[in-house]
Amino acid sequence: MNNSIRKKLMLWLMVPLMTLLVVSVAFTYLIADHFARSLYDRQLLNSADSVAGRIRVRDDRVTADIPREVLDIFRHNYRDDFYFQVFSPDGLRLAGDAILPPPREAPAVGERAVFRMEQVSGRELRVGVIRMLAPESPMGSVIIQVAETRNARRELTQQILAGIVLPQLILIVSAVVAVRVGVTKGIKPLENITTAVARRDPRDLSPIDQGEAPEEVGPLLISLNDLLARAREDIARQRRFASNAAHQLRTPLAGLKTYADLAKKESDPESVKDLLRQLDGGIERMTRTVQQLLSLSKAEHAATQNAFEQVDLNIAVSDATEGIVPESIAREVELDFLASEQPCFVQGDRIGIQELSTNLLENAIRYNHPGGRVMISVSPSDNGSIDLVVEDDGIGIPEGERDRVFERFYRVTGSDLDVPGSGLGLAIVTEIARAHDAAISVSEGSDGKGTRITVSFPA
Amino acid sequence: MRILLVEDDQMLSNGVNLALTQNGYVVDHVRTGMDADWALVGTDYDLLVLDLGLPEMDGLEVLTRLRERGKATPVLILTARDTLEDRITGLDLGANDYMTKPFHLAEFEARVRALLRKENWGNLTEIRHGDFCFDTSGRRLTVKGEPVELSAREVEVLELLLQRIGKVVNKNQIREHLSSWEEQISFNAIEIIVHRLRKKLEEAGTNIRTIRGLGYLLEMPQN
Repeated sequence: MNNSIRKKLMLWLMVPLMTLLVVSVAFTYLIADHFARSLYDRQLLNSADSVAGRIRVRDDRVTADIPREVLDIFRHNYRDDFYFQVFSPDGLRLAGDAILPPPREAPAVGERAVFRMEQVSGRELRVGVIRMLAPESPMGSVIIQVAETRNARRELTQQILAGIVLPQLILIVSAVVAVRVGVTKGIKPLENITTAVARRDPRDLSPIDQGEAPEEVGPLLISLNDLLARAREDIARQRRFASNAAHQLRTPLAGLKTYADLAKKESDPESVKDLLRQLDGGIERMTRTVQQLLSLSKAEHAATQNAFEQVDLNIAVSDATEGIVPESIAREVELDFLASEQPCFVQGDRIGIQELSTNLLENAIRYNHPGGRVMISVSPSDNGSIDLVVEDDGIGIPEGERDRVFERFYRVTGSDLDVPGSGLGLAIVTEIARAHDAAISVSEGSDGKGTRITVSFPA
Repeated sequence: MRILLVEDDQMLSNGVNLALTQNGYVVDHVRTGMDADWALVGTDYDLLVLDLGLPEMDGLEVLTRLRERGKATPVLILTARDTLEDRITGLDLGANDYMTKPFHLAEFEARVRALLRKENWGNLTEIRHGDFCFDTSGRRLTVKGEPVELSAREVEVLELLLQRIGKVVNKNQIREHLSSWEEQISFNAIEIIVHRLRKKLEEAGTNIRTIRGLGYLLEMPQN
């Protein structure tokens, strides 16, 4: 199921959404961190200014008297620790906590405060340094350093982060759920169709109901129904043919059976022999009919154009003509083959074309009379096709029956009764021609006698 | 008994023709519906054996036209079409029996006999007058229990006379009955056949009376 629409949609949805989430978390963190720092740094500076306001210089002694309550105010909500120190310009601690080392650098008087991070006994401290004028002191100025732990800062950052990322997460989850539900609902009719097709009886070739199918699968259903319709037609034709064939085989079978019954009753050995001879002839004719049925079925199914090759019509027709020579001699019919001057190549099935030629020649020779003539020729025509023409001066086909002779089991009236034929030869020709996109036309022979059949192959 | 066989398959028609001829029937054979129609207009047959899938005119059409002309000729349909509808249609159009190909020759012969018996003998299997007994199925005559040897033509003439006991059967009727298209029987030949038959019947006390200028009449002994 690598091709699952649902999985694909989820992938295409999740990858950008997750990327967006990661990027947005990173940015939000940076921004939140920046805001928290600038906010709390300003407060730290205020605290430093307050410490500065409490510094007294007396007799060269510097004191900073900061009551406990003020220190408490400096701590943010009691979650942080606050420290302050006063240094001389040369780094000597004058007052305040001893917890921090002296600052390595300090701004000049009136300059912006300097901030830094400091690790003190495993805790991270934010440290701010300012310089303050002390005119009463010989030092001229003192350095004030304040520091606090970062709990409040971290909390603020986290709150900002949560405030932005959480709604995003909720949005993504709802999007995923919405898409899943939507896709499932969208696919449901498709699944219904799948179930309907899967449960179908193999013989049921009725069209699939397009009623609730989504627009997107409409063309697929139309193609599928079209295919079903063609299969339906094909099967109906096959069934008609099979039943027709079964019926057509019954009459010769009845003939065989009658002769067998006659032979059983007969006591004279000579008469029995004669009956058996006739029976044998009947079996041969029936064998031929069965072979023709098989050829027809083969011509119908095997002749797919994928297997086609370049065939020189001259060679295929010449092979077929050679094969029929003994029969033409036996029936005293003169046989002429007229090849084209240049090779005439067509895309086709060599065996099929041979079979087609043989069937046409057989008809021309059998529905003829001793001394008759049959001519088969291959030539390029004026309109670019390549024509295979079989012409005879035999009994001919009445004009009204020329369309019908290609029907299966149809036999020309009146004239054909002494010729053993299956009524399938021209049906086989039709099938093979159809597979080759070749057109068949029937007319009378050149002197108004006999038959001329032209099969035009596309070049 | 003259039978018209309508069948376009060469082998089957030859076989059936041979079998019917061996049974002593006179058979005319045609291969198309059109020919059958013409033959039925020209001749009164005792039985029509009819295929359905025929060139030029379908067998059912031949049957319909026959009945439309008011002919009651018994018809046995012999066909490859075996659906129930086909059989019903055939029988409703006036066929008397229906056989599907392929069939057993013996059954075919029995059905032919049955149809002819119904038509000609009112279903009776034997006609008995005193010592005289004619088996209508086997077409055999016995007198006082002893079989009498009759030629096929003598049987034909006897049957004609038996079907019209006490009535005159004219020579033309006999000739049409005995002739096929291949073989015309002369009046002379008919006289010879009747002469021989008369001799063989004498022992049973039956007499074939000649009515000059008209034909023959069969008289049974009065018991």
